[in-house]
Formats: sequence, C-alpha cells, structure tokens
Amino acid sequence: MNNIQNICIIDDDSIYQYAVTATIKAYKLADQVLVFSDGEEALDFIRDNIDSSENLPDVILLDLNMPVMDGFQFMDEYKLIKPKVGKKISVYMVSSSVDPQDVEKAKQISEISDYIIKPIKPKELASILSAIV
Amino acid sequence: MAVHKLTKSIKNRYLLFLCTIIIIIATVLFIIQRSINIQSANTQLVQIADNQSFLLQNMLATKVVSDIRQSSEGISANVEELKQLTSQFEKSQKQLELQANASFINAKSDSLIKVSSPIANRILIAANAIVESNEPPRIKNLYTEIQNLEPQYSLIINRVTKNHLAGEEEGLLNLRHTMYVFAVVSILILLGEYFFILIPTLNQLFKKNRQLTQTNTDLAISESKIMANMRELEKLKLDLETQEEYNKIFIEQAPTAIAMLDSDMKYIAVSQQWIKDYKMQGQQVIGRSHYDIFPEIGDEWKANHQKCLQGAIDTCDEAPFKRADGSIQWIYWDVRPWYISKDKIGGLLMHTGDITASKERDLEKHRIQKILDKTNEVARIGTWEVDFQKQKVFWSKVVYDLHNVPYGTQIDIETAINYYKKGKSRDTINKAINEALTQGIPYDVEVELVTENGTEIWARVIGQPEYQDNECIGILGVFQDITSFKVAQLALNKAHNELKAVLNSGPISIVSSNRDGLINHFNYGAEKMLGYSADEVIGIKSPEIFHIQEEMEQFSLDMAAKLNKDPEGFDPYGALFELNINDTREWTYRRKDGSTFPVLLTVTAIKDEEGKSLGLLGMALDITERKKAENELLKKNYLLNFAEEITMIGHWQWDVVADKVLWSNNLFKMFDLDENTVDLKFDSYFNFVHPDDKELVAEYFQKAKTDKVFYKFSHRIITAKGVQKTIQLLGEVFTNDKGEVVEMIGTGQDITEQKMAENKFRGLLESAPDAMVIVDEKGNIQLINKQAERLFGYHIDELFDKPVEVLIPKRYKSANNHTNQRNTFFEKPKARSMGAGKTDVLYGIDKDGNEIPVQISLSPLRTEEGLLVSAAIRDITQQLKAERKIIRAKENLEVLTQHLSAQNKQLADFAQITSHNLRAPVSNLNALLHLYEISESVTEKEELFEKFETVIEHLTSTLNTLIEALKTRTVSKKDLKEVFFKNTLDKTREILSGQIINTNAKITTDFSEVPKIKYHKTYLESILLNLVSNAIKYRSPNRNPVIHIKTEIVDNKINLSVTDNGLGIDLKKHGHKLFGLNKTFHRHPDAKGVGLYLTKIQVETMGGTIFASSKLNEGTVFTVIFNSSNNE
Repeated sequence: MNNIQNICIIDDDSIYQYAVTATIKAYKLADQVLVFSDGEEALDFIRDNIDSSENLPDVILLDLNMPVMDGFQFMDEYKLIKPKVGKKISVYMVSSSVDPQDVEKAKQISEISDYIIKPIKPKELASILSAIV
Repeated sequence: MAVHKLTKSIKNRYLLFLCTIIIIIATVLFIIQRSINIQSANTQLVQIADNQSFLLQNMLATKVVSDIRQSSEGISANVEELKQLTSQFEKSQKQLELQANASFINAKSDSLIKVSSPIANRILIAANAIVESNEPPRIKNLYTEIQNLEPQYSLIINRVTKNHLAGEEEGLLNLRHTMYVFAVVSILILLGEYFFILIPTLNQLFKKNRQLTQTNTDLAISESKIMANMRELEKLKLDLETQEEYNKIFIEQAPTAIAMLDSDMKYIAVSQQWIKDYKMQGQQVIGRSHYDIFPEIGDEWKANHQKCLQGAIDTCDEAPFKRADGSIQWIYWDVRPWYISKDKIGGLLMHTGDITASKERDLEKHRIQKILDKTNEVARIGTWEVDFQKQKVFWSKVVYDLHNVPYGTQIDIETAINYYKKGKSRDTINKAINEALTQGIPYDVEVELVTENGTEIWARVIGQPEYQDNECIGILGVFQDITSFKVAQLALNKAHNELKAVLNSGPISIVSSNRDGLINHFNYGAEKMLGYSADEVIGIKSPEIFHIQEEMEQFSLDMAAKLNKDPEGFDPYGALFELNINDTREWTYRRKDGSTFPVLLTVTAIKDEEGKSLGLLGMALDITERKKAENELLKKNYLLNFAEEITMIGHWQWDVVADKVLWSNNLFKMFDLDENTVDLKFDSYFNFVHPDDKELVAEYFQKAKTDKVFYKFSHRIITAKGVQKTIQLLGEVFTNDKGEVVEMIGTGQDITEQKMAENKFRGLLESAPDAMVIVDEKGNIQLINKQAERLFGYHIDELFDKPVEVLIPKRYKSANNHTNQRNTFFEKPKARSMGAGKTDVLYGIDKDGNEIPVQISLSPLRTEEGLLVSAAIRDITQQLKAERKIIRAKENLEVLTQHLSAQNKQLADFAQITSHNLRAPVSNLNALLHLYEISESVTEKEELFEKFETVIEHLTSTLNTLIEALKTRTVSKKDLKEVFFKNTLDKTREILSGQIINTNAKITTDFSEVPKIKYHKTYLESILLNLVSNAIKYRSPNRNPVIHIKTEIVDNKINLSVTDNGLGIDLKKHGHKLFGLNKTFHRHPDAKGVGLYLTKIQVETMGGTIFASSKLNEGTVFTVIFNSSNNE
C-alpha cells in the first residue's frame, strides 16, 4: 500500500488544521501535509510550483468558507490553471455547511470529487485517500 | 429787515474789534509795567551799589583825615564818623542783599552780591574794630586791611553795577523786540479782522447805502415824471373836453346817422339823423346805454362791439335789424373805436344808415323777377323773332334752353327749321311760315322737335307776321314746351284705347238695358260669354233671356230683406235706382245653347245728367274657374280638417293687434267647443289653460312677442268638458314693416297620449337604478332622470338642450375631445360601456365642480325624432373606495408576505449559520477528542487540551453571538427612542478610545442634515460600534485611519454612511458573504467576523438595509438605510 505523497489542507480553522494534520500523521496517511489558511494562499503555492509537479499535492481537502478566497472562488481560479498542472489532483470539498445550496453547487463542479461534511473521521479520510491510490 | 440784520452784524463785528483792541492795550500795559518794575528794581540796586562804593571810599577817607589830624579828639571825631559810615554801610549791604533776593535781579548779580557779602562782613568787622580800638597801630592795620579789601569789594560792586546796566540795556532791547513783535501781531490781527470781518460788512453797508441812494434818486425822478404827467393829463383832459365838445357838435350835426359811445357803450353824442332813423325823437339818449335803447341787440352784435372796443373795425353793407316792435329795419353800419390817446380807446363811433326803403324795393323787384322767371321756367314759354330782311333769328333764353342750345349761339332760319322733326312737323311749320309770309296768316301749331342733344319735345309755336309797307318783314312769336302735356294726352289716349280693349275683351260681359228693359248694349265679352250676337239681342230682347227665373226671384227677395221692404210687389231694380246703389253677387247665366255657368254680376242703375233713369247696366265676370278653385279649396279644407282630426292637430291664427283669433274646426273639437263659437280672443284660449301651466303659457307667448320667434312648447288644458289634455303648440310670428308683431299662426296638437307614453317612459327612466342622461344627435341633453339630477346636482331645466359636455370635466374635453368621440359614436351607434376598466376611471363633474368617478354604458335609442343616446351613469365612488381598500389590503398583505419571507429567509439563514458555525467547532471537538483518545504522550494531550480550550472558547463566543442575534429578533415599538447620532457616536468613541488613541484614528462627522432618529438605542449603538471598530480594525497599515460618519436623507430615507480609508474589501469576491457569521475577508489577527453579521441582523430587524461599497486599499463605505423617513 502506497501512501499518498502529498496532501493539501485548505482551511482557515486552525483547530481543524491541527486535527487533520494530527490525524494524518497519526495514521500515517500521507508523507507530506500542506496547510493553507485560505484559497489564495493555496492557489499561490500551486502557481509557484506548477512546473515542479512533485511539490504539488495529490489530494486537496478544500474548505468552503474561508476568508479572502473561499472554496468556490478557489475552484474558479483552479479551473483556469488546471490544464497547466501536470498532475492529477483530487479535490474534496470539506465543509461544516449543510446548506443544500452549497452541496448542490459543489456537485455541479466536475473537478470536485466529493463533498464531505465535517467532521471528517479518520476512517473516512483513510478510505478517501486509499481510493485515490 | 435786511438793514436791521446788517446793523446788528456790524455792531457785533465792532464789538469784536473793540475787544481785540482792548486786549492788545491791556497786554501792552502789562508788558510795559513789568519792564518798568524790573527797570526800577535794577536802578535801585545800582544806586545801592554806588552808595556802597561811595560809603566805602568815605570810610577809607576817615583814615586819611585821622592821619592829618593826629589828634585824639580828631580821632574820636573820625571814629564817630566811621561808626556812622560803618552802620550805613552795613545797612546798605543788607539792603543790597535783600534786593539781590528779589526776583527781578538776574542770577549773575545775585551770585556777585552773595560773593560780596563775606567781604563786606570782613570790612564791617574791621571797621567796627577800628571804632572800638584805641591803638593807632592796630587801627592802622585795620585800615590797611579795609584798604586791601576795598578794591575787591569795589570790583564786585562795579561788576554788579555793570552787569545791571548791561541787563537793563538788554531788558530794554527785549522790551523793544517784544513791542515790535507784539505790534506786528496786533496789526496782523486787526488787519485780519478788518479785511475778513469788517470790510465785507462795510461793503454790504456801502452797497445798501448806494442802493438806497439810487432808489431815492429814482423816486425823485419818477415823482417829477408823475408831476409832469399829471400836468400833461390835466392839459389833455382840457383838450379832450374841448375836443369832445367839438366832436359832439360835429356828430350832432352830421347829416348821416352817427353815434358816439363811451367804453361802457353809453351815448356821448348822436346825430339828428340817428334819432330820426331810429325814431328816438323826444327821448333822452345821451348818457344812456346803447343796449338800454336797443334792447333787441343780440349777443352776436354785443360781442362785435366788444371786439371793436379792443380795436377792431366792424362794417356791414346791409343787414336786417329786427326791432323790438317786430319790424325789420335794413341797415348798413361802420362801427369803429375812437381813441383818447394813441393806445387808449375811449369808446365807439357808430355810423349807420337806414336802407330799409331801398332794400324793400330791391326785394320787391327781385321777387317779381323771380316769379316771372319761375313762371317762364315752369311754363317753359319763350319768345322769338325772325327778321327776313336781315335773315336773322332772335331767341329768348327759354327758347335756347328748349332747343338745348347754349344761350347766345347764332341761329339762322334754316338751322331753326331743321330742329323741327322731319316729316309731319317740319312740313307743318314750313307750310305755316310760307302762308304767313305770302298771305299774312298767323299760325298756332303743335309740332315735334328734335333738340340739339337729340331729345324729342313737343312745342306749341305761335307766329304773327309783321308787316311794313304791305310787305312781311318778319315773324314774331311764342315758343312753348308742351311735351309733358302732350305726353299726358297721348297716355290718356292710350289708356282710353286700352280700356276699350278691356271692355271688349272676353271675360267681362257688359250688358245694358233701357227703361223698357230691352238690351241696348251688348259687348263683345257678352257675345262670347253667352253665345248671342249683339245684333240678335239689341233692341229686341231683355236680359232675362240669359238669367234664371228662380235667381231673379231670390234677388228680389234678398233685396227686399236687405232693405227691409215688403217683398210683395217689390221692384229691386227700382230700388237700386232710387237708393243709388249697386249689387254684386253670384248669378248663374244661361247660354244660348242652354248650358249654364256662374258669374259675378254687378248691377247698377244708369242715370242721365238730370238724374233720370236710363236703364240698368250689368257687368258680369265668368267665375267658372274661380268657382272651381273654390270648390277645390273647400275640398282641400275638408281634407285638412280630416287630417287635423286624425293627427289631433288644430290650427290657429291670432291677429295680435286686434286680438282676434281664428281656430280650425279640429281645434274646437280638441277643446270640446262648438265650432261656431265666435269672437275668439287670446284669452279664450288662455282660459282653457291648466291653472298650473298658465304662467308657462304666458311666458312663452311673451317670449314669442319679444324674440319674434315662436318656441315649441307643450302645456296642459282643461277642455270645456273638463277633460285634461296636453297640447303642444307650434307657431310662427309675423311682423309688419316696422318689425312689430302683428300676427301669429300655428298649430296645437293633442299630445296627451304621447305625453302619457312619455310619462311611462319617464317612469321607466326614473325607476332605473342608475343616473340616466338622454342625449340627442347633436349631443344636447334631452332628458335626465331624478337619479341623474341627484348625481349631478342640476335640475333638468338647467340641462335641457345643453351639450352633454357640461357633465364632463374639462380635461376630457381637451385631451380626448369628447365631441369627436360622440360624433364617432353616432356614426356607428352601438351599445357600449365605458369606465369599467380598472386602468382608466371616468369622471363626471357635478354642478359644484366636484368630480365623480363613474361607469357609463351607452346605448342608442332610435326614436321618431331621430337617434338618441341613453347613457346610464353609475357613481362608482363607493365601488372605487372598496376597490382601493382591497388593493390596500392586498398591498399590506404583500408587505406582510415580503416581511414574512424575509423573516423566513433570516430564519433559514440562521439555521444555516447555526448549523455551520456550531457544527464546525463541534466537529473540531470530535476530531480533537479522537486525537486525544489516540494520543500517547502527556505533552500531546496537553497540547490537545489547549486546542480544546480554543474550540470551546470559540464555541462559546459563537453561541453568544447567536443568542445576541436571537434577541435581536424581538423588538417592539416601545423600544424606539429618539436617539441623537452624536450622543451614540460619543459612546462609541468612549468604548473605542484605546484603539482610537493607539491607531491615531481620526473620526469626523456630519450629522447636520439628520441629527437624530427614532430607533432602538442599543442597536444604533451596536451598529455604530461595529462599523467604527471595523473601520479601525481593518485600517491600512500605510496610513492613519480616517473615518467619516455622515447622516443624510436620500429618497426620503435616513442614510448613515461610515467611510474609512482602510484596507478595503474585494466585493467581487466577498460581497455575497460580507455580512455572514464568522466571515472574515482579511488574514487579520483581529478578524472574527461577528460584528457585521449582528449589524446586519439589527439593521434588518429594524426594517432597514445595509450595504457596502469598497475599493481595495482605498477604503470602504458602509451605508445603512434606515426604514425611517424622518427623524420623528
């Protein structure tokens, strides 16, 4: 079983950041964890590393509600640069919002693999990551 | 007055002058006195000083003397002398010192004297020692000492003296200078006063004086002139009196009528002729007014006299002077003024002459000439003469005139002959002249002439040959225009012929019979009419042959009845003769062939000159045609009657002047009256009028009289049998040449049934629930029901025949042109309704000008009188009100729905937010808990605890916010208070004071437009606090925060804007979630995302809205629109 090399967490909630990172580390679900507090930070990182795909994440756990650039806004930008990205990146939207509108909107975006409602359990996380591998 | 004033001013000025002089003198005296004082003091001092020197010398001299004497008594005597001198010296020295102290002494002398005094003392001491000592050596020593001191003292004293003398000289010099200066100043002042004050006044005085002198001189001159004038006047008067006397005599004895009058028109003198002319013998004339003597003088003449008194000359050659006794005196006059002096008029000279006699003669002659001329002119008679010897023709003026030849034109015989009309007239005149020439026969012919301008005239020419020595030398004659006479004659002839023609023409038969009853005249008309020839009947037959026996008998009876005679044996023809009357009536003639026809025959008895009967004359007119026409008329009349009966119409004729009324048969019937009722008057009709309608009828007839138009109207009558009927009257008015109403004719129709039908219709109309207005084709109102009267407030009489537009507000008339629409409707009449739509409400207008919302349905109504339109009008005021109520209720409901859905949305939002914001920390807690479970190390656990704390803290804060938000949802009206923005902001400043100071924030405000609002106080505080703290929180790191808060009214709503110069928000990205819970848009350590959420909740709860506009790095404006239109 190969581990996911690179997992990226985009969420403004520091506790969530901590909890997911801790979980991934505890269960050794990924080699590397990238943490961004909002979409813009993450997007900047992707843009900067667009040519070095080894630095890019395999999986993005994207929060919906964030300051500066939220999940949907990130997706809008991501779609534009996606063709340049020389790597398959799976994007999971992870949000505490149970708003059907948000869920529906996320489903409309083909680049989003799934919409996961927080809290995300370790098992769930593991199964998602294993599905990718 | 002026002089008095002048005197006063001069006095004042003199006083000033005097004062100045007194002041100057006083000053001079003072200065001199002072100088004298100084001088005397000086002199005294010098004297004393001299005295001192002298005394000292004497004291020294005593020594010399004692030397000489060398004896004791000599010494004692010397001592005595010295003693005396010493005491004198001492006294003198004291005086000197005293004098030196006086103020007049100058400082130098003073000091000198002071210096001298110790020396003097030493001298005195020495002197006193000498006196007391007896030892000569000592005395000698003492004398030596004095002797030594003497020159010193003398020097000082001399100096004092010199000094004083010098001072004195100086004083004098000063005095002189002072005096010079003073004199110059005084002279200047005096000169100034003299030139500027005294000189003008004096000048004035002199001028006045000169004037006065001039006046006096003038006065004297004029006085002497007056005297001279007086003398001259006196002389003149004398001259005049003499002159007047002469004039009087001259005038009195003048052979013509002359009068001299003074300027008051009073007689001064009159000539004898004057008295004679105006028959004033024995009257006192002189001294009396002209107008008293001739009271008949009119204003015109008086005015002329006045003009003459002004210098005019009035002359007249002749004028009638109507005297007081009524006689006319013809006079000529020459009225002119006479002059006392060159310019002065003394009165009038009247020179008149009585020309009455000659004037009357003239007038008489003139009149006779005029009559003659007139006669000639009227008769148009002229005279003429032919001189055969000279071959000349003489015409009088009338002859020229008659020939239309200019008076005086040369005429020869041939020319004269040629004026006679060619043919008969010229032949006649030629023949007459020839006979007169050859045989001496005078002639008198009536001939025709063609005058110069082509007019044909008839003239009577009388010629009388003139003989001399048995030879005709000429013809004298008269020429008279007889054209009019001739024309009349010709006309008469023509008329006669015409009459003859008439008498002989067909339709009139003239038959006369003689005393024996036999026909003696039977004209052409009679022949034609009756078929007999004249020869067949004249002298043979009696007129009875064409009369019918019964008619003749009837005639006899009628005549007898008419003349109240016994019909038995009555001779009607004899009666005609006796009473000198004729009879005209219809007869029936029988022709020769036995057929009969009607004639109108007039029978007259013929008399001869002596009044004896000659027989009878019958003139008959065939009236077959007339009779036929009459029958036709009767038949038509019958038809008319019939028609009237059927249509229930009767007709009438009213001779307004004579008040005679004619009725048709049917009218009688309609009134249930006997047809033969006679002597109808207007009142006959009026009496039948229904009492309630009498006024109306009278009014209409009066109107017909004044307007000369008969207006159709109906009224009720009560017939002779007491039946009530409704009669409609139509008529026409006839006037004479002067425009006065003379006759009215018209019809009366029984419209009772029609009226009943109308009433039925009316009843129907009245029972309609809507207001009904019936309009004719012209758009004029014909009928309205009570409902309509009630709706519009008019009575039918006010609206009858008025355009229906009266009931329509003006704006429809102009904007839509109701008249055109109406016309369109009449072109295609079709029932339709209007104003039923919701969009356009129609309005009617009532008498008071109030507009009424109406719904109208129109339907055409075809009647015999034409197309009518009935409009049913429904007042929809109530309906509209109800409608509006419903609409308002609907609107309210909509608002409520909106409100509810907003609340719903808020609730949904709340649920979302709650779920999200609560779920997030809870899920975090779960994750942490799980981590905690799997954590192995203590440090790890501790770390996790910290995280727990953070999450719990966060959760608590979120819960608090939500509770806050929940609380916000219940606000009642009583929570609203008047809040001043300034006060609220002050509170905010207080709370945020730390941050404001730390960040150096600057807050400016402008609450001038809206200083306060009725609002939930806490919310407003919260809103402001959030917005301001946000503005500070998200300030730009590059600049100090500047925040401007402003209130204003926009679209009637209070707006609050908070403008900052902070970081700004990318609204494209974050606009939609700006006011969400736990939303932050900055990676800012302070960002919590609670404030705007609550702010929005609060604003929206109060019914307002909040939005933001922003530019990144420039700043943000938050605007709150309160749902409050004013600051109440």
